[in-house]
Amino acid sequence: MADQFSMLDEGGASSGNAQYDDFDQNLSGQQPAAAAAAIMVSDLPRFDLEQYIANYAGRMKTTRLMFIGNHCPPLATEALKTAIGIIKNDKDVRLYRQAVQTLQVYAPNDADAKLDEDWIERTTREVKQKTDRLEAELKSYKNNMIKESIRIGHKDLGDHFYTTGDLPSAYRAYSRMRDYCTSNKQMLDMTLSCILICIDQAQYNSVQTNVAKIRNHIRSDDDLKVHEPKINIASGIALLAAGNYLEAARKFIDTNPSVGTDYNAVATMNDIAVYGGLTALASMDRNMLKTEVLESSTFRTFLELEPHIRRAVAAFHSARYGECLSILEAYRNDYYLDPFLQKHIDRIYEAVRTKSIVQYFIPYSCVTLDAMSTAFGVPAEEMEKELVRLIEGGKLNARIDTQNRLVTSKETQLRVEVHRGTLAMAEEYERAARLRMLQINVARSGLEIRAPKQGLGGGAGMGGMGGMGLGGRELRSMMFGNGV
Amino acid sequence: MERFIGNVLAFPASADLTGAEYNKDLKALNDILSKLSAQTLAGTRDNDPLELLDNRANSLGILFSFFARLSIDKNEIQTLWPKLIDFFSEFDGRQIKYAKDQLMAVLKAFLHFCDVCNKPILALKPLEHTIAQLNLPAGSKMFSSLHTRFVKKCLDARSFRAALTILDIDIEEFPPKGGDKDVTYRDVLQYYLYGAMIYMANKKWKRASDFLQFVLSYPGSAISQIQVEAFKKFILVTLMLEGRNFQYPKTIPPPTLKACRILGRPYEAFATAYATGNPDLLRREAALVKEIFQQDGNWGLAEQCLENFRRLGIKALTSTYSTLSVEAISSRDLDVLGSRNNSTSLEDLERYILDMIDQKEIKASLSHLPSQSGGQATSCMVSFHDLPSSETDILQDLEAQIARTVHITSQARQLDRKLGISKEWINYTTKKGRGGGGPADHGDQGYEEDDYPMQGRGSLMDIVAAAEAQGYMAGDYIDYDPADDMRPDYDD
Repeated sequence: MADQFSMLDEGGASSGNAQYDDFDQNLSGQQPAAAAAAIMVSDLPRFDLEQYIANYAGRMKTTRLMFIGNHCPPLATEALKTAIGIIKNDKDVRLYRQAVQTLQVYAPNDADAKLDEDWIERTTREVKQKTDRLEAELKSYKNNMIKESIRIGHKDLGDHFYTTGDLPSAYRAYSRMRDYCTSNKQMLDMTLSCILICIDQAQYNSVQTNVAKIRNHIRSDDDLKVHEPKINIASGIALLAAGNYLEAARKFIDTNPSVGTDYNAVATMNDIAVYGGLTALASMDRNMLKTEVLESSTFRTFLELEPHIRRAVAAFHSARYGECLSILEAYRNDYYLDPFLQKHIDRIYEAVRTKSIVQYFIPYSCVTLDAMSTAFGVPAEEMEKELVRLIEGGKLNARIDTQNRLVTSKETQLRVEVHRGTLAMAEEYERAARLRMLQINVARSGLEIRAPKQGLGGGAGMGGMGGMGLGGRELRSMMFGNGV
Repeated sequence: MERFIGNVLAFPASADLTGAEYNKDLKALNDILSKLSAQTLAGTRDNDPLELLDNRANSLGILFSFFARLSIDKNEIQTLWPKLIDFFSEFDGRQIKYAKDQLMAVLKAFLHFCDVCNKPILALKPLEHTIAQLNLPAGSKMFSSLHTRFVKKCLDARSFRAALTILDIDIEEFPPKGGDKDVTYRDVLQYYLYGAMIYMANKKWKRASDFLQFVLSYPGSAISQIQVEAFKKFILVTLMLEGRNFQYPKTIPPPTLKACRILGRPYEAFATAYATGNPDLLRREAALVKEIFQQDGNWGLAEQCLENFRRLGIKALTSTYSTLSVEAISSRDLDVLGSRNNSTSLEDLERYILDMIDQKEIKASLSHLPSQSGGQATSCMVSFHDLPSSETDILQDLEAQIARTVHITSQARQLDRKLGISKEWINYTTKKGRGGGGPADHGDQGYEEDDYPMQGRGSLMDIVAAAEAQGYMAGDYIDYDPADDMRPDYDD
C-alpha cells in the first residue's frame, strides 16, 4: 500500500513541469523492468515462426531469430536452430558462438548446441584470408589512383565485413567510399548501406544523420520513388527509438506501399503497419487518427495487412476505448518479440491508455467510477488509482468524489487564471527589478565582496578600492542582465 | 555658559527659514559649539544644559553637551542613559547634519553600555529613530551601519515585530563610495541575513526569501561565508514557500551557487528528499541531517518545513479529490514529524484539517456519516470545494500591483539617469568616442543606443525587452578562498 502511494506522490511532484518530467518519470517507471534484463514472453505469440522469418532478408533474419531466441523460451529452440543454420552460411563466427551459447541454455542436448570448432577454425581462417586479400587489392587500387576501382575496393571490403559480422569495420569501409563516389546512384547506395548498418547496430542518431545526407542526393523522380519509402522507414524507426512517436507515425504513414519487399532487410510491410498504427495511436487525437491514418490512401494498403491494427485505430476513433485496448493487449506478446518495438511497447500502451481515459472523459462533466471501470475493463480500485495518477500528473482535469464514487470535471475560470498569471508575473518582475537595483547600488557604492588580500588586515581592505570601480557599462548591463 | 545656551536657543532664528539659510545658520552654530571647551558644554549641576534645552528643538546643543560630558567622564553613562534614550528617540535629524561624528561617538558609547548591561531592548527605539534621522532626506532608505546594528539588537532582544518598522522600508541607497568608512559589504550582507531571520520569525516567508536572494546574488569577486549561511536558510525558506517545486532562482551567480552547494550539501539532500514527496524518504533524510541542522541553528526552520509538508500534502489533495475520507488521508502518511507507526489518530487529523479550514488554507467541509457496518463509529468525510476566487479581489490586487510596478519603474529610470551621469559611464563613453573610427566601433555604437532603452520611453516592456536582449552578464566571481572567508562573520 505504502509503496503505491509513494509512487503516486512522485507523480505529483513533477506535475508542475511540462512533458520532460513525464518522460523521465515514464523512464524511471520502466527502469526496474529494464534492469531486470530481458522481458521474457512465456506464451506463444500469434505468428508462425517459419512464415514470419521468411519475410525478412539479410541480417535481419538472424537478428530477429536471435531476438526471439533471447526473449521467448517456447520458440527459442526452433528460432536458434534456424538462426544457426543461416549463420553457418554467412561466416559470422561471433554471432555463431552467441547463438550456440544461447541454445545451450534451452536445449543442451541438441546436436546444434555444440560449438563446431572445425567450422569456426575454418571460417576464421577463410575470413582472415579474404580480408587480407581485399585489403591488398584495395591498396593496389589506391596506388593506381583510379577512383572507381578504389570505390569498388572499399565496397567489397565493406560487404565482406558486413557478412562476417564486423559491423564497425563495415561502416568504416562504406563511409570511405564517399570520397570516391562519382554518381548520385553510387552515393545513394553507399548511404543506404550505412543506414542499414546503423540500424543493425541500433545507432539511431547516425541513422538520422545519414537520412539527412541522402536527401541531398535524390535528384530524379525515379530515385525518389525507389528510395523515399526506405528513407521513411529508416527515419521512422530512428524516431520511434528516440521516443518521438508522432513524427515516427507520420513517417510510417507516408511510406509508399510500392516498397513491397524491397526493404525487408529492415522491416516488412506488416511491420510498417504495426509501427505506424501503434505510434499513431500513442500520439494522435481522434481527429488526427481519422484524417491522417484511416483516410490515408497510402497507409490503407498497409493496414489491410494487419487488420487488427486497423480495427484498433477505428475503435479508438469511434470512442470504443475498451475494445481498442483489448485488441492491443491481445497482441502485446507479438510486439514484445519485435526488436524495434520491445522497449517502447509499454510506453506506447500506457500512452494509448492515458489518452483513452482523457478522451473518454472529455464529453462528461461527471462520470461514475464504476462506469469508467467497466468501460476500461479494470476493477474500480485500479481505475481510481490510475485516475489519481493522471490527475496528479496534470493530464486529466478532474476530481474524484470518493464518497459518491464519481469523477467530476473541474471548472476552469479562464479569466481568473489569466488574472492570477498576470499578478504572479508582475510580482516576479517587481522582485527582480528591486533585486537588480539593489545590486547596482551596491556596485555603485563599491561594496562588492572582495577576497581579502593576503597579509592585509580586513579593515584596510576596503580603503584601497576607491579607484577601481566598475565601468559604467558593466553597471548598466547588470541592471538589465541576468534575465528577468 | 549662558552664551552657549543662548546661542543654542537662538537657533533657528525663525520657523520659516529657507533651506540654504537654515544650513548656513546651522553651520555657524556648529562651528561655535565645536570651539567651546568641554567644561562649558557640560555645564554645572545647577545649570545643566540637558535640563534647560529641549531634545527636539535644540538637538545640536544637547548632543554637544552629551559628547562633552562623556568625554570628561566615561562612567557618566551610568546616570545619563535614560536621558540618552530620550534624546536618541526624539532628536531632530536636520540639526546634526554637521555633527555626525559626535553623534556616532555618543551613540557608540550608549550601545556599548547596552551591551555591557545586556539589555539590547533599550537600544531599539533610539536606534530606530536615529536610522530614520541620520541620513536625511533619504532617512531609513539610505543604508548605514546602524541598520545592521539595529536588526542585530532586535534579534538579541527577540523583539521581531519591532524590527519590521525599519526592515519593511526598502533600502534604496547605499553610502556613496568612500562616504562612510564604517559600512562594509559585511554590514550589508549581515543586515539582509538578519533581516531575513526576523522575517522568518514573523513567518513572512516571501520577504525573507527576497532578502536571502539578495544576499545570494550579491555582486563581488569572492564568496562570503555569510552567503553560505544564507544559502542554507534560503533552501529551507524556499521549501516553505514552494513546497515540492523546488528550484534555484536564476539570479544567483553560478560561482556562488556552486560554492554554496558544495558547502550546503546536507541542505540540498534534504530539499531533494522533500521534493520527492515520499514521507519515508523525508523522514530518513531528516533524521540524518538533524544534527548538522542543529549545529547550524536551522533545525527549527527545518521542523517548520516538515510540519508544512502535511499542509501542502492536504492542499494538493484538494485538486485531486472532491471528497475523501479522513482514513484515506491518514493512510497517506503525510505527518512526517511523527514516526511512521505512531502517526496521528484520526481525531487529531480531523482537528488538524478543521484548523486548516479555519485558517482559510483550504476550503472544505467535514461531515460525519454513519459507517456502513451500522455500528456506533462514524466515518468522517472531507468535501473539498473549489477555492472561490472573486474577481473583484483579484482586480484590487492587480491595481495595487500596477501602482507598485509603476513606482519601481520610475525608480529604475531615476537610477538609470544617475548611472548615465556617473563618472564611470562618462569615462567609458568618452574613451570609446576617442578610440573611434574602426568598423568594430560602429557595431558598438549600435549597441550603445540599444543600451538606452529607458531614457526616453522607459515603459515596462522596454525594460523587459532590454533585459532579454542583454542576456546574462556574469562578472568574474571566481576568486573564492575558503580559508580566508571561513571564519564566521557574525556570532549567533
